[in-house]
Amino acid sequence: MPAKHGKHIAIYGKGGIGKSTTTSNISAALAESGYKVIQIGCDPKSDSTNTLRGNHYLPTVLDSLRGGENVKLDDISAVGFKGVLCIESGGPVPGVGCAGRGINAAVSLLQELNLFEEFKPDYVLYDVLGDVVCGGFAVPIRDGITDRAYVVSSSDFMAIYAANNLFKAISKYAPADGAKLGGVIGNGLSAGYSKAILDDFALKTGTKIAGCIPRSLIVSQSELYGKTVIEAHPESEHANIYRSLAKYIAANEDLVVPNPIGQSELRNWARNWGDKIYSLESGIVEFAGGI
Amino acid sequence: MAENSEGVRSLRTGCALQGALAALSEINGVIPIVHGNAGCAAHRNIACALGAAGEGAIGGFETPSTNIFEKQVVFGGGSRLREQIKNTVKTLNGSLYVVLGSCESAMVGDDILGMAREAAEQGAPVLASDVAGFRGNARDGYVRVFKDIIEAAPELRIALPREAPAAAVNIFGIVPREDVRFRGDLFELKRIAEALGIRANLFFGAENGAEQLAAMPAARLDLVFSKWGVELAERLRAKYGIPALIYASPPSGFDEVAALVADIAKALGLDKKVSEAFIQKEKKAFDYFLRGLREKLYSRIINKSVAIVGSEGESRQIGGFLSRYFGAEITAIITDGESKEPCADYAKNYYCTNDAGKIRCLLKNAGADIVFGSSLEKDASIGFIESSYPVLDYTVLSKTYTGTIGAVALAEEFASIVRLRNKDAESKLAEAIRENNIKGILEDFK
Repeated sequence: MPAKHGKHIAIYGKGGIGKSTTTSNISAALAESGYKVIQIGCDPKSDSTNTLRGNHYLPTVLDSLRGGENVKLDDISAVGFKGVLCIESGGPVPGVGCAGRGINAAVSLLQELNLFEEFKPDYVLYDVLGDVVCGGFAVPIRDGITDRAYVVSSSDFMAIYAANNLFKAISKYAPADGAKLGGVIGNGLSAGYSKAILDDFALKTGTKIAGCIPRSLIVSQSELYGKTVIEAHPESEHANIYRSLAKYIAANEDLVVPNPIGQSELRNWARNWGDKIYSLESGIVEFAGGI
Repeated sequence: MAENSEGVRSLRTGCALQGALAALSEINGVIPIVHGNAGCAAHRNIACALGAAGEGAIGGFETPSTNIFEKQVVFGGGSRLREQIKNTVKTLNGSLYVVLGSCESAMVGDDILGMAREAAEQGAPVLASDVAGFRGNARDGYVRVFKDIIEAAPELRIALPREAPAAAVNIFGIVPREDVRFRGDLFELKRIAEALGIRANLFFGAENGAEQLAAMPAARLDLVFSKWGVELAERLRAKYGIPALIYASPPSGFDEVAALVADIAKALGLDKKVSEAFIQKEKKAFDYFLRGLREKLYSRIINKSVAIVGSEGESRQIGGFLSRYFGAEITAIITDGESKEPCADYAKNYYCTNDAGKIRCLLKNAGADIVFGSSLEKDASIGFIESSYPVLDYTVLSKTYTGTIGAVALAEEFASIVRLRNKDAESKLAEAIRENNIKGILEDFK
């Protein structure tokens, strides 16, 4: 079973929230500390590992399925920054086929290729399209793949909504030895109240904040250079934020089964926050939660 | 087997795809193309080989199929389907090609309608029907594929016979293979229609069914013989204004045939002389054959307790005939969903389930003298007639319980099984006849 070789960690989050950037920086930080790391992008866009390997073309696992030829691990992996093994599951073009089944097929194929036995990683990071739109996207948190998941979220309602959906999936699969939650990673938090919203959400769902990454030009610039922050700006404050996040994730064994919030309760919760923020902006402070 | 199982065991019906495939396989001139994995096309044929039915215009393992694999599930199977349609049209001569979607193609979202349209635009008579297995049972599949054919009928581009009779009726609700006697049922209904001077679009059978599909919108009347045809008649009424006569089962017995003929004559404004002459002829034939049940035998077969396991239509047809003509006390166990009609007019008790464990319990409690059912209920210790799908130990070719002819066959079969169960009295009589013991023979007539 793959889980015997290193810690397998799934990182979820709403599309565009910064999962790939965060995951790649965690991979880079772990690799920098001397660990053997594999990062597997589980998103049909297949751009999870771009910044670890200078934006070069990498055939995806499912490309090999499409081609039908006898695939070898070397064909579908690339060694990136500090030896991180980069793999992209790939998927169909938008609008056809089944991306969910694609992730399932790609993970199975990697297991058949004895990826974990051969590479013997310390950490395997799965960067998964996070809306858990169907069972296929929940494959990485089922029994035998990963045993822990993190979710990247901003304080925007839709990002929190996606995180809450992931919590639903985790609470469904955890009793059957699926993954548990390691924590929430706050990303792109800009407004003063952003962290308070996220803290309150964690409190409500019985989860923890694993770390928070403030919005910064350095992140965008590094990405445009095709590099992680760790590689492009190793001395920056942001690189250190990613390093401490990686350290936390590497050491954290406090895994929980989250309590997702019900649909209408979540909307009410969001509305209450809307009222609070409005009062705050207009100077009427009645109760400002965790601020 | 659990006597009280909650789950469904020994499921007696296939999925929607299988029902649609079975129906198309019985239509002469129609070529089905299955867009699914190899099992989708093959399993139906294995199931049919076990059952009573043979093959239609095209069927068995020659059924064209895209045989999709994981590659097509992940990346979509559109191009594989395009290739399969092209090759099928090139190699198999048909008047109409119908692409049948499967569970996989539906979940993946393959555009089977678009692929069929593309082929149709190039001049091939191709249409598609989304009959993913999960959309229902085999009877649902029959309904779905016919609904799609109704929608496409005006564009089918099938040459119609030049000498189409003035009045034509469409016959719906008799589902190929699920209704094991469908061939005999349809032939008897055709005989009745032709006697009235009407052409019947049976769709299934030796005639060109594809032509009949194309002619369907021009029919003057729809005849529906189970709940599984109601939706089709409603569609045709809405689209083409075709009126419909709807019955919960095919008719069995003289009175029922007479009522049907009167209804058709009224609906189509037929010459009364023709319809009444036919009714009289049928009465003579029916009475003549039933008189063969001598008085003593009749007294032995009346008032029996009979349980019937089968579709709502089958239960009503068999139960209705036996209760009306032989005073049988009927327990109906309906296997094709909730009953749409009250059953109290023919059944003392009725239940709706297709769980083999529950059916076994119900049969035990009913303690019937005679049981009509599928091979799944077969029990050597009781009087048993294999009458519903699946029929595994019996060959059904032209057999029918429909019409006057079919009702006589049903009476014949029923009387035979009762006699077989009543061995003592029957063997005494047989012995007396063999030994030419007049006294003994007369004893039986007392």
